[in-house]
Amino acid sequence: MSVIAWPNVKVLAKLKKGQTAEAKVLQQVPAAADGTFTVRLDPAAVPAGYATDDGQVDLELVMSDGIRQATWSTSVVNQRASVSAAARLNRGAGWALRGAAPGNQLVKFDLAAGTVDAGKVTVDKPTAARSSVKHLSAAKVSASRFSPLVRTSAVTPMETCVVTADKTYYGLTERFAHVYAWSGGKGIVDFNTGSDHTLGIAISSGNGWSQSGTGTISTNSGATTTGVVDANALNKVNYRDYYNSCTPYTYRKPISFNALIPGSSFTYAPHVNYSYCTTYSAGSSVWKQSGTNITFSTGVSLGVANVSAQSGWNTETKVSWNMASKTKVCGSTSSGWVSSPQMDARKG
Amino acid sequence: MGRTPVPGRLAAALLVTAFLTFTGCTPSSDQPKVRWVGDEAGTSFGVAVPVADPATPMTVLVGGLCRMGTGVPTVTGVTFAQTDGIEVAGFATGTRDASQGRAGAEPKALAEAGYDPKSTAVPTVCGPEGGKQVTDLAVQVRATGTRRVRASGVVVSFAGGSVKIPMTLILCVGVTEGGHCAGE
Repeated sequence: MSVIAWPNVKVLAKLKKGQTAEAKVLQQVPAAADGTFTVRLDPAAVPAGYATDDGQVDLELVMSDGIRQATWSTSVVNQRASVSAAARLNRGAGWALRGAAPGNQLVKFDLAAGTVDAGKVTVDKPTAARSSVKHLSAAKVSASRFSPLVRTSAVTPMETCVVTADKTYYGLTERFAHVYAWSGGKGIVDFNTGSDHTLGIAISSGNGWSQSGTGTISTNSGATTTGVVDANALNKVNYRDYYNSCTPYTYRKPISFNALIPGSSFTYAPHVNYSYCTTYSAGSSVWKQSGTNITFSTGVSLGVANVSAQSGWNTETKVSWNMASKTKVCGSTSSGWVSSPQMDARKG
Repeated sequence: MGRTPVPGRLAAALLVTAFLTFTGCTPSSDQPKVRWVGDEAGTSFGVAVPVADPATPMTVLVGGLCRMGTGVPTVTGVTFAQTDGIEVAGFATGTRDASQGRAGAEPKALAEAGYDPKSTAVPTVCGPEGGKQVTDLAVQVRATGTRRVRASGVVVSFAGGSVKIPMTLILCVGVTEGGHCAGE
């Protein structure tokens, strides 16, 4: 297993077509007897310029058995590298996965089957015994849906890889949430400075495309869309192709937001009634500032492939309802709307 | 890495040290523990409610609780971690079928809102994504200010410790029917 740090997304976005940047091989990790690998990354081992200002590092894991090879990309964030002292206080130490439920990520490479499965995120509480680790399906990525490329001849990455920028694709639609509401209780989507979304990366060796991991982009501006009723909440995002000399694949990676929650572009989503409801009177408001949002497995259409989109309802991305009339707010699980990944508001 | 043959099925655990801030649960013994059902979703949320008159009692559904361990714990106290004009006047738990709806906030005392003020037990066992039964925690609050008042962080105490529910409550005092109490 090789762990490659890509140049950060700002560096990649600034490259002109045909220009190059270096990706660094940070680690080469041998397999244990049972075939498992554990990547432990020392923040000091990440060269300057590879992390963003808020500590995000984009990693690519390259797995090879000497004959075949597969890759998986993910973004992690150094929790102590936030630009804000207040935010630093609220963070723990070490690395966190960006854009997913907190915890460790288990990635299974099946080279024989040609699949990578990153479908489980394990949550490990400091107060809990190791044996009580829980498994959440926070990042539902099925092996059958995503079949990353498996080469038939292995390539071993070297110390430095050359990444070459190619074509940019502007204004692709990212669906990241359903907002189910009604005329007496309309939704508001807030997308504040610092919001980040985790979007799929597609790769190709020339014979078709498939998703191979995710990358996280964030914004330094904000937007609010009000009066939302039964809609797919959207952003417009920019993707760009990069060729990595080491693997050697072409990667279509998310690089930036193009337009934040452009309400006029929201598309209709037929209302879904969930079962576990709480009723609020006219004049009330409710909001949800964090929690597990669903992953849209086909949230971004790249033309060559559909890839996933996921946002948490965090302090930067929020959904609210203002109730002009008595309204039921309902969740998709028996824990109710606060704890459910899906929710709706309807006449109470 | 590289040329050493390894089995076809491989797994890589990308370990990111997770120091989760799971709402301050502080268990101290083998006693049963109380948890808020939203813990694992990493959720925080808020409710803003109009109140016509500060003298009006207001019962607010804070959320679902469940228990871990053997025995049925009881809630011994409920306070706000931060408050600017809202007091807790009482609390109660109530268990219901999850599919039965519940009012989120009502201008009534606990008993009028359907809660037994003597009920403090949390009999529902914690499970993945909730179960058929839900134990609600309701608080009766009163505004001590005369305009828009706010409290956040509901600290629920039980014999083995406490758990904090990351809820923000806003009461818009003096807002009558037809008015609106905005969130934040």
